[in-house]
Amino acid sequence: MVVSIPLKHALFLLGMAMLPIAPFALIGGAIYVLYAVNACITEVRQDGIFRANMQFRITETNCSTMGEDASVSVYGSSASSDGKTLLFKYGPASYDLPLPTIEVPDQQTIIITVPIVSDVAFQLHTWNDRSIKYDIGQVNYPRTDNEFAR
Amino acid sequence: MNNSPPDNPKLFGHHTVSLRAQFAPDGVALSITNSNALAGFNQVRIPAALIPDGASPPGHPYEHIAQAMFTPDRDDTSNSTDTSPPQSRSAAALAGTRRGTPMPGNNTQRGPRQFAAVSANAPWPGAPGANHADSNSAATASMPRRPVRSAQANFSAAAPQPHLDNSQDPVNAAVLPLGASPGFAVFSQAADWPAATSRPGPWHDLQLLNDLTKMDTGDRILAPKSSSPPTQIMSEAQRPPGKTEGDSAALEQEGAAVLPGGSTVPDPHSATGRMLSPVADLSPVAVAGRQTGQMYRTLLRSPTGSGGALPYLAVTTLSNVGQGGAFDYQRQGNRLTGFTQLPQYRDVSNFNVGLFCQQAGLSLDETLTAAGRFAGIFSSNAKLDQPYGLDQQTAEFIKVGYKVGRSGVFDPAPRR
Repeated sequence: MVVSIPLKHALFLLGMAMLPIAPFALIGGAIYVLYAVNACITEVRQDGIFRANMQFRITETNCSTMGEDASVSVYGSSASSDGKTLLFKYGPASYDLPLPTIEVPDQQTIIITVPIVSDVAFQLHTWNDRSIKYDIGQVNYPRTDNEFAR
Repeated sequence: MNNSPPDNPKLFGHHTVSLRAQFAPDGVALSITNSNALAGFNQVRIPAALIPDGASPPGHPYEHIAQAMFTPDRDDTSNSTDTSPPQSRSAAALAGTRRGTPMPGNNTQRGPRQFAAVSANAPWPGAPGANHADSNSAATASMPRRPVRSAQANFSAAAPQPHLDNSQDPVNAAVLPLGASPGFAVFSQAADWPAATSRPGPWHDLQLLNDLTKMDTGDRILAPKSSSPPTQIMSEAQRPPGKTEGDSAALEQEGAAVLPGGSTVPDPHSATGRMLSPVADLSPVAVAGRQTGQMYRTLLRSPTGSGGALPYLAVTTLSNVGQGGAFDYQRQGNRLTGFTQLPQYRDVSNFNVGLFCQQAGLSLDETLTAAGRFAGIFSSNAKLDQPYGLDQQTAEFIKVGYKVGRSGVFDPAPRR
């Protein structure tokens, strides 16, 4: 036997069933919205870095959740690429260390130099028909694999 | 040179010497400003054998690298079986090394640059003879054995490249108390000192190890782990005048967090080598954590309020150490007008997470799990491939805060 329940009755019953968990859902939703809005703050640290018809931008993102973390990202853009491309992302070893420098010594190579990093989160090794070489003086938390490398 | 194998290997044991080190490149004069800015404090750990004074040296392949003297900590009076009068701190002055003078049992001749050792750090004010490079010739005072938690060691000479530890918890370094003699010679094998992280430039030469040296036997605060270039360790004498470890006012002026008792938390990411904080006293974090824990447990026991215990814990924890919380020192402002980032307070904010949760009664695993889950959902910098999904530096300072809380340094004074 199939019992047919009108839609509005079904919704009413569902609403009644959800009532006990409504406060938790509201609190959880509020926390989610508040955290999602402000969790990460990204600041452009250096922009308008022009090298051989390419433009680079360096940003720093600090996130605060239950604990704090930070990252520095290097983006590149060129006439032949769509928008900006993430080239390099790393954890800064300290808050007052110099930003990475970018050199384009020839038609095939881009060199990104940074004296010290906490860890490397992402490295792109080819972009815009050029190979990207990294001169990283020191990695405080080196990874043993190359899973982040592409 | 004695090339015979150790005749009693059991005697030597397997110990680890933890050094709080400071790194500077070749040719750079050490000063509190430049060397700290370059690398800050770091931890170097070396497998070592400790040989009681008077015992024969182990010989090849061991090399003598230091002379150590166990001294009880100030608070190490419990369980003492020693009935002799208390030894003054100054009487425990460490056996030192004259510049360029081989240590007894030292079976390697070293170059002059490697013998630039100065006296070991004497961490109490007014220790005679401390911090003078040439004044402390070998004079190990006889002192009774007392309960021991830490030891001061005078590192006389460079050894092979040290192992720059990257794998161990910085606050869990331990060397067990040894034997009945207060004085020990410290030996290590060259093979235990693997080459340092390869890096270009002038960082390759380990120059000397001295000063700021501790061998720990308990939960003490050591420098956070860091893989850093080989080192020249800054001596106490090179600190700016008036900046002694116990000078709380100077430390507060410097912006350092000062723990109860006047100690600080080493921080290699800080320009001063100490963990920076907008407020020196972190006791309110511990108090808030304890209050939260007490209320949580009260709610749990309550027949009517137990359902609200977990939401209470979550909301209170986040309002204290979550984003923009009372002890989130990295964020200034509010959600309506927006936050300003203060990245120099990243480490202390993570430290506060660990301290608050420890005082609230959470386990370290629960603390890291909660922090990792929040980071995984909300942070674009979360490291999902790392333990708990946390950035390693973040996890490290949460752990340091937790263990400092567990050490009892923030515990309330007992009621009378």
